Amino acid sequence: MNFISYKKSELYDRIVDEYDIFQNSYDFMVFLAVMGYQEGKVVREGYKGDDSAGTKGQIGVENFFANDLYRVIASSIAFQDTEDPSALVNSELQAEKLAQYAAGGLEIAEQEFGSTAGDPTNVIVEYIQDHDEEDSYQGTLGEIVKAFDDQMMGVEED
Amino acid sequence: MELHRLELQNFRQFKDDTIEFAREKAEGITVIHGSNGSGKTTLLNAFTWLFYDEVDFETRPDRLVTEGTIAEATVGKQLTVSVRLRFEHEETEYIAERRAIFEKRSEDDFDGDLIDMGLTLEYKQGTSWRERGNPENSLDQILPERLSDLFFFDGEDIEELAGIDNQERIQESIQNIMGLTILERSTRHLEDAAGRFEDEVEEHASDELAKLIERKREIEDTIEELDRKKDDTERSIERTETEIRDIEQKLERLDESAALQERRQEYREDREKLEARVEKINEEIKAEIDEKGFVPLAIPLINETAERLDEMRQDGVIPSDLSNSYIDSLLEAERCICGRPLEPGTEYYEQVAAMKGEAVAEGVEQGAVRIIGHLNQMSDMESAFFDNIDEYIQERKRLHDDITELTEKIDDVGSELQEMDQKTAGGVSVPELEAKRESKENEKEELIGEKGRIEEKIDRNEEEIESLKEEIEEQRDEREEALVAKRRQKAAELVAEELGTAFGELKDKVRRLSNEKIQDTFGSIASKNLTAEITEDFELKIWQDVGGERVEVDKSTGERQIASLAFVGSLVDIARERYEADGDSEYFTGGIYPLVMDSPFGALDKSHRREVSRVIPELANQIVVFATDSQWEGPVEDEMSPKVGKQYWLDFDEGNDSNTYPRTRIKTEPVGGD
Repeated sequence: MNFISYKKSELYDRIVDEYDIFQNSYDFMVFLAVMGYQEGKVVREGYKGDDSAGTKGQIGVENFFANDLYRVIASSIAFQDTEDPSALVNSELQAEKLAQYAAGGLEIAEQEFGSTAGDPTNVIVEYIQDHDEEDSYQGTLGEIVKAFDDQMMGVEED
Repeated sequence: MELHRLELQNFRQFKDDTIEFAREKAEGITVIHGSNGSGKTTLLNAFTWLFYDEVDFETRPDRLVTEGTIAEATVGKQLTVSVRLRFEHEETEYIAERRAIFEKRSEDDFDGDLIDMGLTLEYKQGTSWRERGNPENSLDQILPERLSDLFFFDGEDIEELAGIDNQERIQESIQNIMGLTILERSTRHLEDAAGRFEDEVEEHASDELAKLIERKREIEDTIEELDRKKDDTERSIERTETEIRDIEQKLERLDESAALQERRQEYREDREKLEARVEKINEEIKAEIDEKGFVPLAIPLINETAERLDEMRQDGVIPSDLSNSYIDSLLEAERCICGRPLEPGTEYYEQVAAMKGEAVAEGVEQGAVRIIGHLNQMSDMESAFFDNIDEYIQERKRLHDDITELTEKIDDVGSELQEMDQKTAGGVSVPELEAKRESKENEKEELIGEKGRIEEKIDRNEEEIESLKEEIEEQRDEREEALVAKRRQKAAELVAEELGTAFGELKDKVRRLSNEKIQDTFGSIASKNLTAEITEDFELKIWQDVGGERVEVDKSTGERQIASLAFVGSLVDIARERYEADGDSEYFTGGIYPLVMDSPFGALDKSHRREVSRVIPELANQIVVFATDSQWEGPVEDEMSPKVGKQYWLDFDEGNDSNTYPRTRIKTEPVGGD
């Protein structure tokens, strides 16, 4: 069986084992990867973790790709990162890119909910709500926010 | 083991007395009647003194010699105290005797100085008696000291077994009676051995390694200390909980506060239900995050990707698998769609061939299509995620509001109670009770916080130990001696771990066995659909069946005592069965034991006395019961009389100060007065 190696930290244990928020480590990893992508945070070196430091995690490729949506995410990330359509069919490359963005996401996650005392579920929900771009720029409120932003920009330019 | 005869000489208030024990199976009970202070507990102590040189007297613990005997003796005279027991064990007759010689030092010396003490154990071979070389050890094998609590017990505190913080005692009893202690001991010895090897490693080690080992040991000590603290805190929490329960029971019994206290209890139960629902919602939220949480964050990524791919497809950067194969078929047929011939090598042929996309791997288009095809699904999931989460959060908020309201109501009950003026029989007013309850609640909260902090410290220390162990493992610059010792240490640790696991499994097996037994015994005597259980944590619990649901019962003294006796009975029973079933395991031999019980009816009301009397004869083949007349008369006598083989009465004469001294005579006829 092939494995995807990724960087693990104590946060994985907390979120997956202790608080049961994600069922599997790879569920959390996908979440981190989209987080990393959205925030433009990617780690190109050391993203596979270090065995001797106990930060190395592994996921069975088959487990991972059995989920259709996870495949979509992995191939999109790989494509966006390389801008090469052939990334869509290169699962090795997809695994690598996924791990790089997940390592980036992990750094943000450590900041956002790594220091939460107790169960971080609510903080994660809030994070998702705050980072839902679609909704935040929709409707009247979105327009006001946008207009306000533009004005501010205009003032600064003057 | 079967008790035959006990002879006492100058042992406390018994100057020269003998008890023959009942030994017939159908009439195996020996009853010793005596009023309070007449010497029942002294008799119990005679057994423990003989076997283990242990006594537990409330008054004048140092005075073993009969007061009259030493008072009448001349200065310098040596006096002998002795307890002698004749018994049978595994088909051999024994006589055990402990003698202590005291010397009177002065006219007013009533304690005497201990000059000599000795224990002898004789056993019968054929018709002659022979002496055992190591009597202490032999006796301890026959009736291990750690079992003595179980077989010689003061009935007035037997209910403690089913009380709070007694898991340890229950565990210990279970492993004792099954002979599992040997496993526990081996595990401990191995751990000690590992420690000694570690000493050796340290002795021969480099400075750096020695430092690491020292540090590890310091932390181990810290953890031990913290574990003790944690146990203490847990006990304090349980004690505080019991205190709170007691206060609340008092409030329930007073007319004025009864209704309020009951209402408070209802509010609390409602609040618990709501809290459970909040918990459920939190789980639902987690499930949503697990299943769909990544979707909202991924939507921009997927959108951008889909748009870009679509563009590339339209520009022909991503070739359509379909169009490629169509072009291939045209080239193969060497005729274009417009009718022109396509001859290889011609310019026109090359033009058509160039319409094929870049040479990229197969499936690229499929991959692109898959991404675009999932757009709708993702978008649906996103909406579902936010809708569901909103709903859960609102529901949770409502529940929180309800919980707050209930908490306020509970507080209001407290304030109302503060304004009442009824008092308990003991003169404590309702407000005083309520204030005390509240301070106990606060105390409990503090203790729970304290426990959490201790646990955190333990975790941190344990992590440090783990990393130190790794560092120690990695140290290479050692001498041969250190390396050998290290290997040995490792081996000892491994075996200890293995044994520990086996020990745990066996203990659990016995727990389950004992659980079955206790169900039988307890079920047959206790009323009200009650069942007893030894939980996985070795807690003795009593459950009540309420409309098909199992509810834990706050144990009354009587129920606790019955449960405890049922538990002791279950162990004696297992040991007996084990013994009779031709021991197939050397660690699991079991045995037959008598029970000697001081006042097992002590704190009980009449109905419970009857129940306890019914269970006692079932506990062991041979039973010795000490009781006052008032404990004995009525239901106890009704139930037990048919099974009583021998009865004695303790005739206590407290003497007067000048020339007669306290003394108890053991008689076979009832004596006047209780």
